[in-house]
Amino acid sequence: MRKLSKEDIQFIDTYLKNSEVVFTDIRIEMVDHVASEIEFLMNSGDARGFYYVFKDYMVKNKANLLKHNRQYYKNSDKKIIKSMFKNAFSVKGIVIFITVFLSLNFLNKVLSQSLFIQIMRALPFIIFLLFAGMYRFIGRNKKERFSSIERIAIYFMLIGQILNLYFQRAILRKTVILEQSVQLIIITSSLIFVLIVLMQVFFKFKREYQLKYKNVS
Amino acid sequence: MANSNLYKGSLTTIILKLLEEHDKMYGYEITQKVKELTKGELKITEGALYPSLHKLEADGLLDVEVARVDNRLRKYYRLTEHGTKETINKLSELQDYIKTMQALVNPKLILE
Repeated sequence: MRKLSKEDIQFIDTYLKNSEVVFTDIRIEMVDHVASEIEFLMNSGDARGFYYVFKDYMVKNKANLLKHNRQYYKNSDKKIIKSMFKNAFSVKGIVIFITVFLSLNFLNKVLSQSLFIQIMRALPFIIFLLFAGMYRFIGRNKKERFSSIERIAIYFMLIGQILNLYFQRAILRKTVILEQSVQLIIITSSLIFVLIVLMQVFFKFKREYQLKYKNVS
Repeated sequence: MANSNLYKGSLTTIILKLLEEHDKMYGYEITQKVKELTKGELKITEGALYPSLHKLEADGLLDVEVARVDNRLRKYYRLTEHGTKETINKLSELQDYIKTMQALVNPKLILE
């Protein structure tokens, strides 16, 4: 029974990496599939060396194989959104939202109007920058990239745009704030809450990947 | 199979059924098992299989385990509790569909 060597496997891995299969979780599966098929062919009478069998296999199957690589984001989106809803509507999620809302409400009562406005203007951005920084430096590993973790970046960008839209152009106009501070607190609490939920999802995925892919060297 | 569109809608049911019968399976093993069971009539391509597996995983029907085998890492899939329940529903749906198609295509074979 012929088996591929470590070097052969590394060759397939590097080839796929150079073919833009950059995510470790997707590539692991492709490497195993290609290696299994090559071993099958070699054990079914193909006496040629690994390189020739691999080359022929890739000529025939590369397009179909890479089609699978391009579809990862649909499932990643589904996983992220599902997890966000699950976290948001859990007991813990509801407690977090109420805590954020009551804290902002408390600040509204004890602080002067101008200081409160300054805090409301700055707080979501500070939290956003803090979380985005944590995500960038803790979560993304240049050596091993995982599809769902990288996809979370899109959601950070989306929330960043919403923050920009609401707080720069619409909500923080003083006239609106003076008349509708409760509405402002609800919107601010919701944005902070979404950021917290996104971070929870990020840490959940990170833990899952670390656990499942602990064998990745 | 001449027209692969005919089985496309049943791919997830095929995967679930196989995983119901085996504790855990990896992608290539699934393609080979299907080929073997259908005597080469049905060939599942990588481009169809892996997105389906990932979709089932995202839906919470499958769980993943990664193990080192033969100098490489291998992703094994197994049914979750929810996946086991869903397999029963999907198989029942598929059986109903086959029955309906038989009634349409070959009504003489249906006794009742």
